[in-house]
Amino acid sequence: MRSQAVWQLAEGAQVRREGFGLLFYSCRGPRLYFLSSKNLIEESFFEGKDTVRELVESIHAKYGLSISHVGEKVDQILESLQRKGLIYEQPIR
Amino acid sequence: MSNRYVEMGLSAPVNVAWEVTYECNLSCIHCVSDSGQKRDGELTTEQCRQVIDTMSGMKVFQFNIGGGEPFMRGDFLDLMQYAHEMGMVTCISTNGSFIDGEVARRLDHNLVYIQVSLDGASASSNDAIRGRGSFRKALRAIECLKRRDIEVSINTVLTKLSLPELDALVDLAAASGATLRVSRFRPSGRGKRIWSQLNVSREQMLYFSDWLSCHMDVSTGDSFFSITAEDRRSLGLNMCGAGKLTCSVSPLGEVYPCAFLQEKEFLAGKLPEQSFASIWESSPVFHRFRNLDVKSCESCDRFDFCHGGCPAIGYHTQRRLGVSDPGCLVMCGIEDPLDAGEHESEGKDERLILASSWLEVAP
Repeated sequence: MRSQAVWQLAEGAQVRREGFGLLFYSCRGPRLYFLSSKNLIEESFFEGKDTVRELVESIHAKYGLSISHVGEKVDQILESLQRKGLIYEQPIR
Repeated sequence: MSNRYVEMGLSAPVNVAWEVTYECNLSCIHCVSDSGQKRDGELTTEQCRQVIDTMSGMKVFQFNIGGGEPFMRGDFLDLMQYAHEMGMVTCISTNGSFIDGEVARRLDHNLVYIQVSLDGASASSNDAIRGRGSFRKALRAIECLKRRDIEVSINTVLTKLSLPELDALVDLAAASGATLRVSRFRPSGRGKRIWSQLNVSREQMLYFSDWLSCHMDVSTGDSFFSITAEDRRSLGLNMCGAGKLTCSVSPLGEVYPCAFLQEKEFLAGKLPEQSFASIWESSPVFHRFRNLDVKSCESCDRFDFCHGGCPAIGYHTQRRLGVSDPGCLVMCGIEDPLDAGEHESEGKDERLILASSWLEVAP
């Protein structure tokens, strides 16, 4: 887990909250991506303000799930979103 | 597509088809909006800004803008600028008549996509459908837009007249730096009057389905999910999005589940008098579409590809919802509205006979 990584929406991508989690839209298509994340990840995470570590720790604090388990899941989600061209990693701050 | 998430109900449409005026300088023979003259009650500039505010506030991602001819509104470029300031993507459908270098400059934005309508690859074939001079103006528009590297697609309505032009349209699009998008002819507006003459036959639709498989870079949006072959499955919707993923707003602010179902019985509400959020959430019309089942199609092997196809075409040909799309390649559940009794099968598949008589309704 690149814990200090910060992520942002790629150009042309947008995101909004839905009951199931997050709905991503890319005008390069256009494409839709349904992320079943419930309330675990806020759409504001993709504004590049919080690091992955901060996200993982907030999920751990809220739900009591183990940090390593949360970290692994968050990594999988971020890799998937990056692969689909919806987000990109900002340089480490 | 993850239909189960859509079936859970979204908080807002993904995109809204917004016809901003009925006014048009052309009189295309198949116009689904029956455009021509501006009508009383078309939304004012301020009311249009309210629509943009509302949709932006609900995080609708994209406007599909059309008309009439959107550029006939004097405030159109200002409205699009406002929509972009609010972060909304605009996909603008136009005949191109009013796009010159200066207009292209104002459209030069990363949230803009332009669809220029052409129904033939030459002036003679296109103008027979869209009017004299329309081909030349459309090409000039594409040229102006591409000089600024604005994303452009040529949009062609599939009819008996445009079908033979498809290969040439692919070449024209490539030469112009544009992509090609083929959309479905629907029997609404002026399209109703000319449906039987222009709609493609089943054999032609089969040909087109095969043709699409050989032209993966030709898009169809969500127009042809009833004929989508396996190899194009990932390219578009596999179900009607009316009332679930999308809806339409007329030049008068009327909200409908779909731009091709602008009939009184499908009027869901009116902007800006009513709250769009409450229309989207509570309108009985939208609930009807969200619970629409095409029972006759559910046992079909292709059901996952189309979920019964386009309800609008089913409605306009049979005057009711929940019927099979007449453009279906399988047509196992189709009901022939002309079927009044016995008919000969001569050893052929009865369903095909029913279907072919239906699609080739005598003028």
